[in-house]
Amino acid sequence: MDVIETRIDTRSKTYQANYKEMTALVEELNRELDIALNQRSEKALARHKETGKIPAAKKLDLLLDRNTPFLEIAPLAARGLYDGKIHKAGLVCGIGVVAGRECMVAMNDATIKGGAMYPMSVKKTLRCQTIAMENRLPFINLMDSSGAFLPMQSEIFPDLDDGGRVFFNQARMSKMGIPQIVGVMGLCTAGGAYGVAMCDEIVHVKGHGAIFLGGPPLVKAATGDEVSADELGGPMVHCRDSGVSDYFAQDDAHAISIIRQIVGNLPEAEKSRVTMQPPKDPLYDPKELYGIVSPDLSKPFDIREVIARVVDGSEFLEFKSLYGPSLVTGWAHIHGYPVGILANNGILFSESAQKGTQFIQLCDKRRIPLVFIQNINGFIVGKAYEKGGITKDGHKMVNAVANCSVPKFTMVVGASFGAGNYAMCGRAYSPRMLWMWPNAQIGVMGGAQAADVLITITNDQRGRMGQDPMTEEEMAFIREPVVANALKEGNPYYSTSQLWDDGIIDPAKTRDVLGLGISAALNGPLHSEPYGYGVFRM
Amino acid sequence: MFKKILIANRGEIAVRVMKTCKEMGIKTVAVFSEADTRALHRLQADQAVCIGGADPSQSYLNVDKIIEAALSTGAQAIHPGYGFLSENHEFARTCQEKGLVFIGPPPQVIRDMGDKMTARQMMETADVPVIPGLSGEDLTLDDMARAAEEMGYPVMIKASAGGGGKGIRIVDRAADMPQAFEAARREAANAFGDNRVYLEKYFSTSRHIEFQVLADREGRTIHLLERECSIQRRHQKIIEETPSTAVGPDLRERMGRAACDAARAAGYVNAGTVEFLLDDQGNFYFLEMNTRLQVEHPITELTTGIDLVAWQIRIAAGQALTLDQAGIFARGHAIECRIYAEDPEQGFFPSPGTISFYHAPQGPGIRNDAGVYTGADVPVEYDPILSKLSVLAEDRDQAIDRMIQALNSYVVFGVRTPVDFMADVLDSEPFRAGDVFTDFIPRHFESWAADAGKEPTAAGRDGLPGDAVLACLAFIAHDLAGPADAGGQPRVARHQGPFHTLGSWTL
Amino acid sequence: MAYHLETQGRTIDLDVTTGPENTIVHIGTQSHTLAVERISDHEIMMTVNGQQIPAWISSGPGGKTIIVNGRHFQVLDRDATAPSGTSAPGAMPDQGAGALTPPMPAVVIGVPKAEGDWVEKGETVILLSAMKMEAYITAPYSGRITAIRAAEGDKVMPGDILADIEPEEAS
Repeated sequence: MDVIETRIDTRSKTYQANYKEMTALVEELNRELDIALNQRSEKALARHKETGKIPAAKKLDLLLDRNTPFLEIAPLAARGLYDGKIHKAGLVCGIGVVAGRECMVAMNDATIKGGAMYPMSVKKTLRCQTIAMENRLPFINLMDSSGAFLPMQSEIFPDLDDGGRVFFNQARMSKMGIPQIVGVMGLCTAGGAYGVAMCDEIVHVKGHGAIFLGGPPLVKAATGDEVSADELGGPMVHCRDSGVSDYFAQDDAHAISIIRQIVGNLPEAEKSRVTMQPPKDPLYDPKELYGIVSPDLSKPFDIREVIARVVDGSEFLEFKSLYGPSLVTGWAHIHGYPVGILANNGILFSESAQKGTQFIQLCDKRRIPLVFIQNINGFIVGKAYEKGGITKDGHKMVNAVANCSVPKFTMVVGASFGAGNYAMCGRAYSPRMLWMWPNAQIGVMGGAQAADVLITITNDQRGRMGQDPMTEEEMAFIREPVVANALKEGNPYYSTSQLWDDGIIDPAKTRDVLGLGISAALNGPLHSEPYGYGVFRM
Repeated sequence: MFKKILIANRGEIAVRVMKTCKEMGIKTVAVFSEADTRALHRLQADQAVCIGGADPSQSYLNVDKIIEAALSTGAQAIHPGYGFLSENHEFARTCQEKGLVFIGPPPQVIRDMGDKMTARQMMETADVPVIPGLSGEDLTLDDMARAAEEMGYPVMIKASAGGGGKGIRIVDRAADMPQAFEAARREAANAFGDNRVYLEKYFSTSRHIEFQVLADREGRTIHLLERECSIQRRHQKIIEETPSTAVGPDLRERMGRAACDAARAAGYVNAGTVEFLLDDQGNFYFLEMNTRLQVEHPITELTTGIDLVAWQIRIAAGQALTLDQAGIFARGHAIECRIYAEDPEQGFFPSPGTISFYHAPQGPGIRNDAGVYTGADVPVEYDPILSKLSVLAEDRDQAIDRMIQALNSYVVFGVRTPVDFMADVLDSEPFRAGDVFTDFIPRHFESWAADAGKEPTAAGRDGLPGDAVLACLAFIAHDLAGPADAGGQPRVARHQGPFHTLGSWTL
Repeated sequence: MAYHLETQGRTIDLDVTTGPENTIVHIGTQSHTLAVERISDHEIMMTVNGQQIPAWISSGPGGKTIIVNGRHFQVLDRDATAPSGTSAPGAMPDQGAGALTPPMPAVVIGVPKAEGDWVEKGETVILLSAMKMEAYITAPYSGRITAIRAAEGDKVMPGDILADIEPEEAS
């Protein structure tokens, strides 16, 4: 296999400067992750402990097989939203190994507002369900939620992608044969009760686990009866009398032990077969990625240097290397799994879009997972290119990305602008997973570019109305908020907070997250639907 | 000299005999049972013959099969090793009758020395001191009780046909005599098919000292100094050393002479061992004579530099002993530990099984006579000895330290070995002081555990936790270390994905 | 990661924090830094608090045989042998289980105990017959019978509390 030879000079000033900046960005990321994991009010922690509950992190520890990875999903969801304290949108979610089986795990963190469900909590739950459905992963839910955050009920309750969709998905997952196991480790009221009941198997914890459609306050209001949560929906009621719950657990740890046994008894996952190679590390240190990529997205770099630090043995067989060179395509392995890689080395031209289309179809036909490495400012514009049919060729690539049905993975390592985002498998194109590097930017176009467009349009309007063009001050007045907003909303933290991605990652972990994502994907079929494409405009 | 020798034994002793044979340019024939098809002795021989089922009576004790194997392979002599048929005079006689040389003493000597009463009488005649006691045909209870009264209790009733610690009863007072007498006779009849018993004074604090002797056909008899074999469990030796801390030059001289006298009195030829009891007053008494190679022979070989097996073969081939007593001297101090598959935490209960991993210590002054290897079985049917670990050093303290280090690096998985127990014995104050008596283990090591009952979290040396905690850390570290790298070759056809290889990875 | 290991008949609880540089193992109030390299199938080299300690390891069902400093340890993984949390799996729920009530509609065919009697846990308090089968209502815990609400020949229903038992003080 061809090996990528690096041309990076780790002693160069640019490298050193880049490295320093990326190190700072990664440190910031780790700080944010730490805050999301650990920043809790003393009061909430104390109350949690008093009730005999185990903290979410500890539950996860008990649930997962020892010494196995946990691919957390959207650890920074809802960052900065609401009052800024709904860390992780109140839910710890991710893919981990339970009793030898890769599973989707989701649990409320009741030390965050009692585990209340905010709009982002619903969005995160739906995202996890999508991952479980696409990858056929058993879904384990440890519930301890005070229910919907009522002041925001309009954003949680009614729409297509709101709370009701969670139960809809649960029903569909049940039909698909995806095991759903729930531990009732707190109050599950109303919607929460349905969320529990829609699962295959219910493990109910003594003392603080309760399920009911109407809680004690509602019962009191309706009938005047005073009843405790345990009397109304505790495990004795549901394990012995109602039959709602299936397993009686003495405490959280016992419930987790039962869940592990349930998963251990599931029929073995028949993973999709791909032709693996013995996994091997890249030839070059992945940490060198820090020095390759400039935080200034206008500074170009050779994307092959990134590929060389992501793929096994830095081995990469480049496909059509001389044609349409602004898109690098080729074959490689990640953690032993075969992949087809599409990576940007500049903006997309007709040739590169055509080449991408062909390569996508090739991988799709051969059932080889696709990895998109995004650093894209968009498609080429201009008279000659319009005349050359760039729209036609761009359409081909978008068509191919949308219709190919092998697992796709997207890593945004720099810019993600405009239709480039689409052609390179942005969120809307259903990659199985999408991650961002901390230096990434996302938007319709770059801030400065957007400001210039606005200024041009405004000046044109003025011209039509016979007014003078704008002064420098007036232009600055337009430019500054546009640039600031683009920076804010194009920031990866904004993206990850809104669940536009599955997480911001340390660039050095790129190979591992991709490998874990592919491994998870192999739990499902390699083709999610029959091979086929729409009409390509020729 | 012989061209080919059959070794009528198994395990480490068969392997050890073969090594000398190879050096002497003699071809070897192994016999093996169906349980030993992959045993080391079978694999190391030039020829190998399967002689029957796993049960010793069908194989290693099956005289007809062994003789047949020797004749069919053209072996000229048979080395019996120790145990099995080594002290069976009928086997030795059958060899003679079939024209095969039995590497050991003449059949009559084996027979005489095998009968403890006969041996006692022969030694008394030769003025070799024997333990005060009473022996003779048809002894009655009254005879015994009277004699016991005269010499004073405690006394021992022993089976005449016994040996190796079997058929011994200790009587502490007159009242127990009738019952003990009957029981000893019954036990002797059951165990050896011979109910004759005799009486000896019992010494509760005594040492077991033995002398190696060599005698040729012309009656040249020399001794190769003593071995101290007092450390025993269940009347079986487990740690031996030479020289003994209890034997000074004068006593050595006297005991050595007595040993040679004993051998001459018995008409001894080839290598043998005269066992003495040494009481706490410095008096020694003949116990018995072993008419074969001893398990603990390596320590004599280490200190004297003499290959005992080579001399056994030369003498059996009719060569004269060219060593003389004046030329025999010991250099340094040697210790042997018998490494059995047994569990020191379960009363030394045998622990048979398959050895999944075997790593023997190496280094200057270390000798390991092993009969096993990684992948070998330790069958339930035989003595579960894995190897004899011996060390030689300048003096006793160094030898003890060397042995402890060797034991610490002796690694066996699949079966339990008492190496850590033995290290504790060697490192104990009474052992270091040389206060070794036959009751050493019951007195000092009645109950023993690998961490000697320390608190699990008690600190160890050099700011490290104790051994139990280190073991727990090793447990975790082993998990963290991930699957072994089998030399770049994938261990499984389907490679493991990152969920199995990344360990406790997080974003 | 939490480990509950057992060796020499004692349980040692360890908490493991893995970091990129090293691993820290907490045992009670102590903590040790731990690094490891695998040497071969059965041998690892640990670095504990900066000192190198080789260890030999053989994995078996439920645990590992470990030789360290020449000492043999059979180390069992309590979580693997008994995968329960803090309590035994399948333990009877103790809450509300004290109610002496028939499992189905039945006829009382015997009341061997009387009010004020002492009963041991598991002793029969009421004999029932239902669906041609005999059934026994037994004391869920030891204690003194404070009330009996059934007599021979009574028809009883699930939910009827047939007797009350005051648990012994210790419980």
